[in-house]
Amino acid sequence: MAPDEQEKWQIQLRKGALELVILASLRGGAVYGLALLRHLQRFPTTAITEGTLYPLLDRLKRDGLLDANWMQEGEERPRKYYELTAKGKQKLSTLMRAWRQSVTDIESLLATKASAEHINRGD
Amino acid sequence: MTSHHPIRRYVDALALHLRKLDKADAAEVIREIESHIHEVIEQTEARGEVPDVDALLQGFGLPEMLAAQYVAHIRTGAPPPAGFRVVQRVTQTVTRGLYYSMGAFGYSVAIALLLLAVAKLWQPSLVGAWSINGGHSVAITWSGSPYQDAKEILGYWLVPIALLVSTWCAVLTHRVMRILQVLRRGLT
Repeated sequence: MAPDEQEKWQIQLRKGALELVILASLRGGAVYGLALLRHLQRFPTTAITEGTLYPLLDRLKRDGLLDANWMQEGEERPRKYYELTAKGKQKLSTLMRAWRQSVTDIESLLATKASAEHINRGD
Repeated sequence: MTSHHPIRRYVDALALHLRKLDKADAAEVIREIESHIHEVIEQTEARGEVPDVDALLQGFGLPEMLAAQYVAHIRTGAPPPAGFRVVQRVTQTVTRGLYYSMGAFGYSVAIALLLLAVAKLWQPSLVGAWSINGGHSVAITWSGSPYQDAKEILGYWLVPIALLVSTWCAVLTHRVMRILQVLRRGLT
């Protein structure tokens, strides 16, 4: 695969998984935007930009999956913290199951050399 | 010390493109973006480094593109199923019709009252508000007393009253149209 094709494929994959990635990153409790961005940027395939993260957080909040509150600690600048709602936790569980099932299925496909005979039999 | 001009320019442009949202939504978006930018700059400066403001702003993308993402999901949410587009179109048409009808009606009444005041000064004996049917009805005419027993009730007071109501009507129409304009922006 050419490098730019590989990049396109990774972008598509990341788009699909981004909601799961963000919900999963908030499992441990409330996190503010900059901290979440830096957390995601630690991993090459989840390194997104500010321009992708903030509108997505806003959408997840409007969908009722996240709660957001401004908090200030001492002299620090106020930050907007995001955390999972009950609906968000439920959605995370659903997406995690679906993701793991996909990974298992794809791993199996990668490990198996399917013959025409197997496919025709539906094995 | 970091120059904040590019940040101001970016935030102003973002605010401009977020004007389709209501003020509270737009202010919330801007507050969060500004908070992020300033925190990154403060942290960078605290490490004794010079912040690369241009690179930081590039991370957010063009202000119009960033705003478009917020506007798209705040105003319309997920794209509606195909059948719902027809409903949306009908709603938009009705709202457009309501907008222009309201303007035409309100300003027509205001102009008519203004002309009435001028006409009363021009032809005082023909224009007036008349009490008819023994005081049970009132008629405003431009062609003299409608009945023999009709009595003019306002005289020249018709002029300031008509001007006052005309002004009130024009102002009210203007305000209603502004509200309808905001509603139309929200629906289109």
